Amino acid sequence: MVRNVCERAEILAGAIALGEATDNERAEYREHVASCAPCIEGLGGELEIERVMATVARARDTETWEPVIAPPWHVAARSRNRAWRMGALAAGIALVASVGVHAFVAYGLGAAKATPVDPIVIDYDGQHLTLEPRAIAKHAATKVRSAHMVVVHNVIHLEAPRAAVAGESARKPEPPVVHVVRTVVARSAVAASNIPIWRRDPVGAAKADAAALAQAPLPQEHRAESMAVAPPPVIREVEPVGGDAAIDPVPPMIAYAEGANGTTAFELVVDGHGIPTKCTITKASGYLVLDHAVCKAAMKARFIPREINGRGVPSIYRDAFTFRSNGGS
Amino acid sequence: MEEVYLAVHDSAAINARIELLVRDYQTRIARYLRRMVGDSEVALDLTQEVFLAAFRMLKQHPERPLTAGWLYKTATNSAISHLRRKKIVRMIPLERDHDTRSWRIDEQSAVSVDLQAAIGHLPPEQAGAVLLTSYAGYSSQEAAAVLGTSADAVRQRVCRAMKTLRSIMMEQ
Repeated sequence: MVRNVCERAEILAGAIALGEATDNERAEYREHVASCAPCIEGLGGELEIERVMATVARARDTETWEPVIAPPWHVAARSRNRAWRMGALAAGIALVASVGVHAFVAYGLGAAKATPVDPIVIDYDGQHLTLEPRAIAKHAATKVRSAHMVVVHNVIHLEAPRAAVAGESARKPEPPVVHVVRTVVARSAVAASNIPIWRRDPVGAAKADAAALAQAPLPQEHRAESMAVAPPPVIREVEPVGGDAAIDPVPPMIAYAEGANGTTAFELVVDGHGIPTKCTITKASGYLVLDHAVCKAAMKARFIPREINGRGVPSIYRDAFTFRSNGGS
Repeated sequence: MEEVYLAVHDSAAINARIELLVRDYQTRIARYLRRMVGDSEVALDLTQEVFLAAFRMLKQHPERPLTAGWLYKTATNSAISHLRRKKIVRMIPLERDHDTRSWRIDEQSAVSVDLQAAIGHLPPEQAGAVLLTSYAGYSSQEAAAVLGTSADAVRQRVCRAMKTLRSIMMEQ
């Protein structure tokens, strides 16, 4: 009998923990634990129960992990292909290999060669932003005809103004020049047949363009100040953990379907712990989905915090990505 | 429970709905599974399996509605199967300095790490009850439907899990 009563107390404690207990149930629990030493020691009072649940809720609220998984049909296709290959005859395997080689030559190499990347020069608000991508790295070709997107990671470095020469101090200083000293090229592809038809909506694209243009205003932080002695070149204040590959924007399928092209420059505010707290698009690509992809990827990155006197301090990180699409084929 | 999918028969529509489903639930399911199994990589694999199972189920039975509860039920069963198969519930102690190092990278809160160490000591059924109610936000009735038990059983599991969590987290 006692055991049943204590089990009932456990159920009541669970209800209190989940916020489902009625006043009568709470009173019943209080009445029981007032006369049952094992229960009050093991389960605790109402406040203790709620305190433990609050700890769980706090842990949940502070979670920042946001993984991205591949669409299931990609995995399903891989599984089907693997099962089929395991059971195929030698002649069939040879045929598949032959088709694969032909597809590689026809689409893979052709697509990789046919995407020259020209330097991009952007002149806005008195600044020269030069994005000079390197040659595109060759990646494994897909065996199916596909839409592809070339993502060029442009690392922006700000060059400080030249030191003022004596006698010219009153003159207007030369505008700073932004150079790209390093580029990383990534390329991703998606089968055209996998782009949902409902996402190929030109109306949506027009809305995205309008929204992207609306947030186009550019900040002044790129403009270096005039000063008598030039400081060392302003490079990045912080570096991402894992290098440039740490920020890896994934263009959404709608970008493939719309043949999105453009350069997104952004600016991150990184706190003293190396965690981004704010992402600002300083130059919109014209496609809201691309800008969002860049900011989403950037906010996931973690940075080696800048330290002053051993303490981490907030800092700014600037970077840009260029997207080039073949427009779907 | 919230219904996240309505029956459609067109293959492209299934892909589109699954894409939405993945986008909306991948973080929640992955976090839930990471708490269950205590390992990010395993959680990602299991999350992929859950959505793959949903995709295959819809391909074979497009008339069946898919709910968030179905996803959590599949995720719970996958996690419990994994824990039982690998027998890592008791054999690998979740020491703070060793196993929680990877958690420190993307978790800001020490509470989060401590909680994970404590959850590692719970039986899978109790962990599932706590996480379904506190993480997924289900009531005891809804969690009972997912776990295939009664609401009172869920409350009892939550209570016993809390007893364990409280004793372990007080030691730390």
